[in-house]
Amino acid sequence: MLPVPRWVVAVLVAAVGCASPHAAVTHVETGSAVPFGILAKTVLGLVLLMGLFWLGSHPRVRQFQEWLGIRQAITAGFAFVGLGLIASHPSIGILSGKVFYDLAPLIHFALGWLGMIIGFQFDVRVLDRLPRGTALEIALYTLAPFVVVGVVGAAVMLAYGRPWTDATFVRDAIVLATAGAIFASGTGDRPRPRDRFAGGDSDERHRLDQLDEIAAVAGLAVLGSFFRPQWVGFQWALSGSIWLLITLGVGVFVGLLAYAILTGGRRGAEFAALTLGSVALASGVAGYLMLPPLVVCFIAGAMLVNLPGDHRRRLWSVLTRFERPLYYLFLTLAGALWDVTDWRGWLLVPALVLSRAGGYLFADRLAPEIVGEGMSMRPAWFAAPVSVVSIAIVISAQTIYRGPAVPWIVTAVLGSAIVVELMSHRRARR
Amino acid sequence: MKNLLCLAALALLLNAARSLLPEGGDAYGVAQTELAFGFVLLSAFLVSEILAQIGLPKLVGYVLTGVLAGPHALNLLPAKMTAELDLVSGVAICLIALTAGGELSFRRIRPLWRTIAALTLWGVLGAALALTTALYVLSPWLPFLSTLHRAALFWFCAMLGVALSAQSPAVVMGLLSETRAEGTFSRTVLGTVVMSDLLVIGLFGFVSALARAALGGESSVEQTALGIAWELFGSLGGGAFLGLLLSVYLKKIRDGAQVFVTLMCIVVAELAVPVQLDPLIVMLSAGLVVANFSEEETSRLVRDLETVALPVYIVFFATAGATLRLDVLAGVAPIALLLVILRGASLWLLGVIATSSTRAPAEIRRWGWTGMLPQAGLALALALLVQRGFGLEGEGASALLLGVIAINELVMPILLRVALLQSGDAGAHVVEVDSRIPPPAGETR
Repeated sequence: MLPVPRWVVAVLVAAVGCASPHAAVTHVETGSAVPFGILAKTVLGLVLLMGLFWLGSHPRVRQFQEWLGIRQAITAGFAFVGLGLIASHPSIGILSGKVFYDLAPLIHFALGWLGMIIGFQFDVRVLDRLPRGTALEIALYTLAPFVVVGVVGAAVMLAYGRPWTDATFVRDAIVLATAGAIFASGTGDRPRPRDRFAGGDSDERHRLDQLDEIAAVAGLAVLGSFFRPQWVGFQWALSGSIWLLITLGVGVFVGLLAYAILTGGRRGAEFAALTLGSVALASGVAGYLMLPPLVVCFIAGAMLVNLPGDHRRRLWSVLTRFERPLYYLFLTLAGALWDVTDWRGWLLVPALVLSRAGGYLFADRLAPEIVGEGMSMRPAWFAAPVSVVSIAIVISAQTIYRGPAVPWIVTAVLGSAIVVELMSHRRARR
Repeated sequence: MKNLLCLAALALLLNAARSLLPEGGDAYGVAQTELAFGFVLLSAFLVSEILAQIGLPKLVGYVLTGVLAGPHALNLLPAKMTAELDLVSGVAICLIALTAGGELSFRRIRPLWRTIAALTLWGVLGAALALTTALYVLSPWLPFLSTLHRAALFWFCAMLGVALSAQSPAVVMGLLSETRAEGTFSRTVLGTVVMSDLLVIGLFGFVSALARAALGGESSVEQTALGIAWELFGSLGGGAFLGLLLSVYLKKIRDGAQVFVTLMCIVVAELAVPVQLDPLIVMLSAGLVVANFSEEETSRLVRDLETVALPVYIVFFATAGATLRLDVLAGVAPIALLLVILRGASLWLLGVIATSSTRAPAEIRRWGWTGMLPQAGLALALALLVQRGFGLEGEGASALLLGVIAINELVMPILLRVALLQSGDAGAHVVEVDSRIPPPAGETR
C-alpha cells in the first residue's frame, strides 16, 4: 500500500468525520428531525456485533467454551439469542417495528434451510445399512419422552388454568412433546461432505440422531396439517388429511423443480444462488399456506438426496456451509420474539427437563426387553441434549399459531436447552 | 427446453399458492417476501440463461423477468409482493456500492483520474444541459408542461434534465461481474459512474429546489443546501466510519465476514433513509476506505461476497424491472424514445470530447461513453421524487422519466456488454473457484 493514498484517505476520513456531525447538528437545529438516537444505537449495535464475532472466533474463548462444554450449536449460539433479546427491548428498539417485520422472513428461511439439511440426510441407501431393530429403538426412544413430556406439560398447563376443552390445549401439549422428544448428537457438528457422499459411513450415533430428527419432522407435519391456524381465512375449507397431502405434494414438487434446476454442471456462486432460491421458494410457499417450512423443505431435501446426479456433494456443501451463520441469524430473531417476562414459561423448564429425563429413563428400562441388549447408543437419560430441531419446532409453532401457551413453550424449550447441556457437561467432566 | 419447462412449473406453483389464500389476508407479508424472493431468483436466472444463449447480457434477462412477471404484465408478482422485496433491493444497493467502492483503490485509479473527472463533468453537466434544452423545445408536445410559465418551465425542464443524466453504478457493476471484466476501461467506467452519481445527487437537490420555488412552492435554498450537505457529507462520514470498522474486522477477526457485511448492509438499508442518508454513498464510502486501508483484505472480501451478492443482484434487477410501468411507457413511447436517442447521442459526443481532451487510451475514447448509458436505481429514485413532490406536473414528468429509464435499463446494458467485449476487458478477471463448493463428479480443478 502506498503512503500517499493512505494519507489522502486519512485526511478525507478526518475531514468528513468532522464535517458530518457539524452538518447534522446544523440540520437538526434548522428543524429537520434526524433521529440521532437511532444512529447511535445502530453504531453501538454494530460494534457490539463485531465484538461478539471477535469473541466467538478468539482461540481463548473457544478453549473456554470447550472447558465449559459449550459445544452444541444451541448453547454456543445463545449469545445471539441474548443479542436478539437486547436489540428488541423497548428501551433499545433496534430490532423492533418495521426492522423486525422486514427481517422476519429470515425466520421462515432459516427453518426451511434446516429442514432441507435434515431432509438431505434421509438417504434411503444409508438407512438400509442400519442394524435390525433400529426402527423399534427409535420408536421407543421417541415415543416414551413424547408421551411423558406431553402428559406432564398438559398437567402444568392445566394447573395454569388452561381449559382442556379448548381446541388449542391438545395442540400446545403436542408441540411441547414433539420438541421435548428429540435429542442432539454429542458434537453438534454434521459430518463433512467428503464423509457423507464419498461412500464413507457416518457413525451410527449420527444416523440415530437423523432418524430422531426425521421422526420429529413427521410429528410437525401432522401437527401443521391437523391443527390449522384459526386466524387465517383460506379460500377453501380442507380437511387435515388433504393438508397433509398438500404438504407432501408441495415438498415433492419443489424438490423435483430444484433437482431440474440444480443439475447440469452448475457450480460456484451460481449453484449457491440457485440453492438459496430453491429453499426460499419452498419455505415461501410453505409459509404462504401456513404449513411448516421445516417440513416442506425436508421433503424437498429428501427428494434431492435420493435422486441421481452430480449435485449432491455440492448441495450438501452449500447447505452445511451456510447452516451456522443462518442458524445464528435465526437465533437472533428468535431472541427478539422471545417473551422472557412470563414466569409460567420458566416454571415449565424444570417440568420439561424432568419429564424428558423420565421419558428416557422409561425407554432405557424398556429397551433391553423390547430391543435387546447392546443395541442402545443413547447418552445417559439425564444428559441427552436438546436438539436444534426442538428450537426450530417451537419457533415454527410460534410463527403459525397464536395463543397464551405458545410463549411458555418457547421459554420452556430454550431454557431447558441450556439446563440440559450444563447437566450433560457436568456428567462428561466427571 | 428444460429451462422453459422449469419456468412454467415455477409460474404454476406461484399461481396455485396464491389461489389458496385471499388477497390481502393476514398471512400476507412475511411469507410472500420469501415466496417472491425464491420465485424471482429462480425465474430470472432461467430467463437470463435463455437470453445468454442468444448473446444478450444476463442482466437484461433479470430485468426482463421482472417486467414480464410484474404487476404491469403477467401479474405473477403483484405490486404488494414486489414491494416486500424492498429490503432485498436495499441490501443489493449496499452490496453493489460496497463492491464498487472496494474496486476503487486510489493507487489503481490515480492514472485514470483526469479521464474519469472529464467524463463525469462532461457527461453529467453536458447531458443535463442537452436534455434540458430538448425538453424545453419539446414542451408544446408534452401536456404536463403546458401550464407552466417560462421560468418555471425552464427550471422544471432542468430538473428533469439532471434526473435523466443519472447513470447506474449497479448496472455497471453487474455487467463487470457477469463478464469478469478487469482493466483500464472497466476501472474508468466504474469510476465515472460512481463520481457521476455523487454529482447528480448534489445537482438534483439544488435544481429541484429552484424548480419548486419557480413553481410557487415553499423552498428555502439554505435548508436545501444543509439537507444536501448532510446527505452527502453525512453519508460519506458514516460510510468512512463503517469502512474503518470493516477494515478492523477483516484484519483482526476474519471469520464470518460474509455474515458481518450482510448484517451491515441490512442495517444501512433499513436505517439510512430514515436518517436522510444515502445508502449508496454510505457503502461506497465504506468500500473506498476498505479498499485503500486494507487492499489485501478487500480482494478476499470481494471474493467472499460473490456468493452472497449474486442472488441479491438478480433479485434487485428483477425487482427494478417489475417496477417499470409498461402502461405508462405505451403513452409516452415516442417522446421517450426520442429522448433516449438524444441522451445516447449527447453522451457519445460528450464522451468523445472528454476522452480526447485527456488523451485517454484508444479503447476508452471509443467505448468510454457506453458506461454512462444504462440507468436504474438512482434514476428511478429521482423519478419517484419528481412524482411525489410536483403534483400533476410531477406525475406526468415521472411517467416520461420512467419511460426513458425503462428503455435505458433494458437496452443499454447490451451496448455496454459489447463495449466490454470489444475493449478486451471481458474475461480478464481471473476467478478463484470457491474451494468450499466441490466440483461435479469427475471434474478436476
